[in-house]
Amino acid sequence: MKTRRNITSGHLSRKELIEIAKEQPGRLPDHLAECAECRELVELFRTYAVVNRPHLPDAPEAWIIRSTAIMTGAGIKSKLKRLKAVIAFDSWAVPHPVGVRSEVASEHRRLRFTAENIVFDLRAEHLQKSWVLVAQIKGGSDVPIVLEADKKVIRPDKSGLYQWSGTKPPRRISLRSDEFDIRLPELVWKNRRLK
Amino acid sequence: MFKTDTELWQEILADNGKSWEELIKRYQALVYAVSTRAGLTMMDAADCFQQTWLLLYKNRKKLRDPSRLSAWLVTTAKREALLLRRRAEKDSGIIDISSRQNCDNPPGSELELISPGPLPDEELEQIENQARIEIALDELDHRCQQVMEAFFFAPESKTYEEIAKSFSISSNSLGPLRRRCLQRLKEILMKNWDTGERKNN
Repeated sequence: MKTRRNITSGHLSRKELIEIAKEQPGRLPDHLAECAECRELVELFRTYAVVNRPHLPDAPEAWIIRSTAIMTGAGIKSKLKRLKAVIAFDSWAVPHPVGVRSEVASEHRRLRFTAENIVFDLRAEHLQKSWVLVAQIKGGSDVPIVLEADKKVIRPDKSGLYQWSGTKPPRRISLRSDEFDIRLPELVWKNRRLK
Repeated sequence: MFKTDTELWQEILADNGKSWEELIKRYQALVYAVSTRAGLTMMDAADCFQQTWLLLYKNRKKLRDPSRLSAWLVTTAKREALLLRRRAEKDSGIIDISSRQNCDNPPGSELELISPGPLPDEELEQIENQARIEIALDELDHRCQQVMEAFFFAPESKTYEEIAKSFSISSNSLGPLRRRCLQRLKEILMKNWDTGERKNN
């Protein structure tokens, strides 16, 4: 019979235990026959195959608070305010630099949307292979606003500008805070001026 | 003192707000994972998250088996996510190609939905399992949490001796510690989610 010291020094590495857990039961090394903990770990790894996966991330605090408040009824009342923004300005025109007479070749678009007291300005420039976008949000309270452009989530930089780029311009944009969700109308990117 | 889901549920039925809060804290990561991995926008995922808890609360008197709460939450969150997804598709006129067998729209075309389709059941089961392990780990004392984390979640694969060294103890001392922590972890898992029952479901 092995002493405890012998068993301990022969403990399998995590990697080995995981590999055993993945295999069919029955092919167990000698060590497992004597080591109850290793057997239990293998069994746990088998039942809960979560090793080497990152932890599940926590939900945003604001979501948890709202759900917690459901029991008092406050959570239902405090459901996010959903707004639809309307377009106020849309132009592909580019102001000519002083002294330049010819048309500027690059595509450049400026858009403005409003929803209640919130104004959203977007400037997009089409470079050779990409689009560069800069946006600004004015109005609303001081709550942080996150911009969601298609599947990208953009937060403001230190100057309050939302800047990002991509191979395609965004079609669906929404602005989200703990108080509201504002959905912009779907954007169509056809520059009629160049045709 | 760890309270099982059933114990918490009894307290919720008696209008205990603290227990409701504890239950949400326990399962928020699970509902969040289902809501955010189902191909929804963050806005819709937030609705899905809240709607799942709202439905749980509204149906609190109908829930027959509180020990199956995590499965109920996963199923409900998935169903809500699908409803929101269909609504979003209807609103935008986009067709979810993942649900169509004969797809005429190649990847990258205008009708392709950017996000992947809703999670398959195996993936949901894995998320639920992971949530259970993480909830059980949270109930362990700090030392045990560290030891079990090293075995379940540490990114690099260390040998037994290396793990012992990282805790500044000998391999011989790690053995009893690991045994105690493993026992406690198993007790919590068995107490709240009977693993035998899980395999039969």
